[in-house]
Amino acid sequence: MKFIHLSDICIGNPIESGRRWDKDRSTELLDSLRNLLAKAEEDGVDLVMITGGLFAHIPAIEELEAVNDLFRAHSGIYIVIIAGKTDIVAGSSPVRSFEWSSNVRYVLEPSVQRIVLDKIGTEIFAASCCSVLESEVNTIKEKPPILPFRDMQEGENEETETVLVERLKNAEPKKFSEAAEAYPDSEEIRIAMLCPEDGLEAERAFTGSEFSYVAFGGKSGQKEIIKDMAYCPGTFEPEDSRDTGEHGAMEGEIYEETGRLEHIEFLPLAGLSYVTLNIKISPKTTAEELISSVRKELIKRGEKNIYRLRLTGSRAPEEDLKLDSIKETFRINEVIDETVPEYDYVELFKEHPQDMIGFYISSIVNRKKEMSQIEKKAMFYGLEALLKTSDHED
Amino acid sequence: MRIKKIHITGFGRFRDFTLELSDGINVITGPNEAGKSTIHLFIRSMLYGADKKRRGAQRPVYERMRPWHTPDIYGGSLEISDDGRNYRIDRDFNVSADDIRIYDIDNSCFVAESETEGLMKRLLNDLSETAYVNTVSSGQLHAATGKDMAAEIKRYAANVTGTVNSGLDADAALMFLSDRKKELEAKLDTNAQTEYNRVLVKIKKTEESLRDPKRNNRISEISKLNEAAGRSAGETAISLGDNELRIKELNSILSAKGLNGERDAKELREKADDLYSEYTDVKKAIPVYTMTVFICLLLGVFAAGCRMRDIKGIYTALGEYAYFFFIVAIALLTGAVLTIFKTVQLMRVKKNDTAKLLELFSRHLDPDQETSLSDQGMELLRKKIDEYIANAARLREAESCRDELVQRLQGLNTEQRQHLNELDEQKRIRDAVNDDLLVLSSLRSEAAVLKRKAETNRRVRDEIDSVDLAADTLRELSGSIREAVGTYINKEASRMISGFSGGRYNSVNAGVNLNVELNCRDGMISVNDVSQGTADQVYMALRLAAIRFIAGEADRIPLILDDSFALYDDERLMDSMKFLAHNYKGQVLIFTCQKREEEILKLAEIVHASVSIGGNDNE
Repeated sequence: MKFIHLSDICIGNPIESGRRWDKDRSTELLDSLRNLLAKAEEDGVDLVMITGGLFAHIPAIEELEAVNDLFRAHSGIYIVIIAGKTDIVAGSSPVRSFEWSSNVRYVLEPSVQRIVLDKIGTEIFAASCCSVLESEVNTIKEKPPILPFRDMQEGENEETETVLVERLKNAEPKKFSEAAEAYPDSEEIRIAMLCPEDGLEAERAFTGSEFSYVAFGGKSGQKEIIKDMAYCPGTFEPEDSRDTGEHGAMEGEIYEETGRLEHIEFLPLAGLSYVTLNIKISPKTTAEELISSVRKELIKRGEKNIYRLRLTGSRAPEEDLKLDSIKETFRINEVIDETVPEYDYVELFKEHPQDMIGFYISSIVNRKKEMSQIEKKAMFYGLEALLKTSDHED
Repeated sequence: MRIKKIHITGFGRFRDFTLELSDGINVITGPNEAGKSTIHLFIRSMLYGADKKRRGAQRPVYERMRPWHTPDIYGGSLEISDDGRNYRIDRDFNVSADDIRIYDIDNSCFVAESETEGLMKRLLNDLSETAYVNTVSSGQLHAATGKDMAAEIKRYAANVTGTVNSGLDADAALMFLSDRKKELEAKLDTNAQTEYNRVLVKIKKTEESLRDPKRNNRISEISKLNEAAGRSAGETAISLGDNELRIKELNSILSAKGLNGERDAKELREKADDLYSEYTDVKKAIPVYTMTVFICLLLGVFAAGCRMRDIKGIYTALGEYAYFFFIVAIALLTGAVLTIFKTVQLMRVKKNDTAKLLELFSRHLDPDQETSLSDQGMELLRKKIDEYIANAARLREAESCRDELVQRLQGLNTEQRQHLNELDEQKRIRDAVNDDLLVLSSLRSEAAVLKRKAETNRRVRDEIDSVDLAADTLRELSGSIREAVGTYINKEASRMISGFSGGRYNSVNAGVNLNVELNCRDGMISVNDVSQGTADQVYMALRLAAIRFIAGEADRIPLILDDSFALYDDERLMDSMKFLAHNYKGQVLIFTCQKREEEILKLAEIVHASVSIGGNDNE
């Protein structure tokens, strides 16, 4: 039985809203799912498991329909989906009444559900993240008046009120084993699917259990949780600029005869990456050189990726290192200019030991041993102002 | 630093021109247009390189001073001594405006290129070119007498106290920073944060509305209930159909036999039973009656015979009972007749019953069945009629069952209608929820954009903070420098004035408000109110103090006075010369077009050297 396991495509992710590539990005997320399903078809995969985060938020009917159309096109592959914290199943969620294609199972409950897929001899124990309204008794404690010679009784001056509180509900990891134990004679391949709150606890709950594979959701990045058994694929599509590195899905195979996971690998299938590019600037760097070298680097690394450019080092004070032309061609969500215009302070100080420039340098430098970014910039702004205005004078 | 010899290979109007200078005061005399200003510029260019910058309307020195006739010979040298060491500064402006080589005369070698700059700085005591121009090498005072002079002194005083060196002028830099700040502030999206907060509140409210238990999506649940009700209704309808068929069937069976209901069937049964019992009764009675008739007739005839023929004398024997006998005979005969009538009647009844029963048999029994008028036949008929009765009972049952089914079906239909209404309501809620989700999605997009704007604002604010910090630092520095400079200059100038005036004036105070005041025994006097000579001295004192402040107290840089005293009368000139000789310890170059300075110096017995330039031979 071949499977692909992934989490967090986050369809409808608003993070790139308002960017030039905003619309492209939203279709890309669907494309990414489409490509994954095509890859699954190509590899003869029987089962695709999505452990949370198919959507970036509680999905609307239109979004459900869009993904369902994709799933229907691959009716030979079972698709089992649980909701994660982002696309939580709420009481009012339209997904509760959505009619999925016959090959799709969407888990709507926070308790462990057993899904039997006879055709592929597999049973899946899965639970979704749901939001549940629970009535809660709130105790309002009134501070007891401090009276001499009197012991306060516990619980005195307490009032209670019942309120409806929304809670995130999710099955505890140990419930999966318990649910599985209810079917001791099952000969199917057993899989668990969950988005645990606490990875460590989950790890303990599954060590030595009967499951052939445990599919973990979560945004903690791709990792092996229990060797040859439990894996977390990390986010399939990077969520935001902090979510750097490789993204994709786990592809594995479980042998029916042994019920063991025989093969598992990570497929870097994500449509793009968020890349932070550190660019070291030297006073010799000209704007044109910078643009051409950055352009080359961006083409090499992929034009679809979304970049954050961090310019560090020191630049020639006269050089205006604007990257506007690159911003129009590439996806650059941020240019962090940490460069400090290279005034040679030591040299300037030598040249101007007894004038405003010299005094200014020593006054800023004397503030602290380590200059903050603001002080560094202040140094630049002040010197720029002094040098530019003294150039025009005489 | 002392300038020992000027050699011009080509500069302005000069070609191959040499001028030797001494320590102390040098008076360089030459007529107007002899090139004094050129020499003055040459010295400056030798020290700092030829200035390539345009100053006001004038072309840059570098262009202006390139010799017309021999433009390829452009430069010269300056022999100087400094702390006992002798150097020659060579510059070839044809190579570049700042070309320089320094020849170490004592060691007969050129100073290494890498050390040239450092050496020059040391020689110039770190005095910048701007400072040099503003202080050491300064032209004449623009005004010379009266109030104008005082204004000029004030201007100069303001200049030296506030802006001894243009490098100390923070106002322009502050203006520049203020523009920078405005530029940055224009980049701020001031509403971003408020808008962001507003959108967040909206998101929260919408999310809360999604949590309302009244909006829970129960479509699946209700659909299931509705399906179940539908299934039940279907089943009930089928049962009802079956029932109808049965009713119809039973009805047709009964009505075919002319029966309408159970009562009819029961009546039929009673009727048949009555008929049959009458029939059997009659059937049994007829022979009895017949026998009776026969006996009566026999006895009657016998009795009558006895009367008429007195057979065997019976009649006679009877005697008086013969009448009785007769009466009996009559009675018997009458009885016979009557019985005959009765028998006939019975026979009619029997016939009638037989016909009726046979008619019943033929109607209700199958033709192949035994239909003879017998107990057996009657039994069959009874069974048949009992069947009718059973059917009629079934019909009754079916009819009551039909009512029940109809009622149930109506109930289920009502239930379904309710479910459908509920489903409609649920779908409306779901669509409203869906609309909210779409709104939420666009709000989240909006929030993402605004958050970015707010973050950009934060970064711009950091930049503004940097600019503010720069401006604050500059302002602070500028204030304290002005104060320090002012204090120094005033102190130094006061010392000179006090010494020179023999204590008549204790101090001079040039304030930033352009007022120059002198402190004398009677109190503070404005420079406007003192004599011309004193004003000159104040001017000179401020100037020398400024030079000391900037170029060091040792008066190491040659002071160049270019026609500074042209407008002075002899007395003022004398005072100024004395003041200068008394207060400036370094080399002084006085450029003048008059012989007056030299004469005054001689008269005042001040040691000096004099050189004269002029004449076309130098050009």
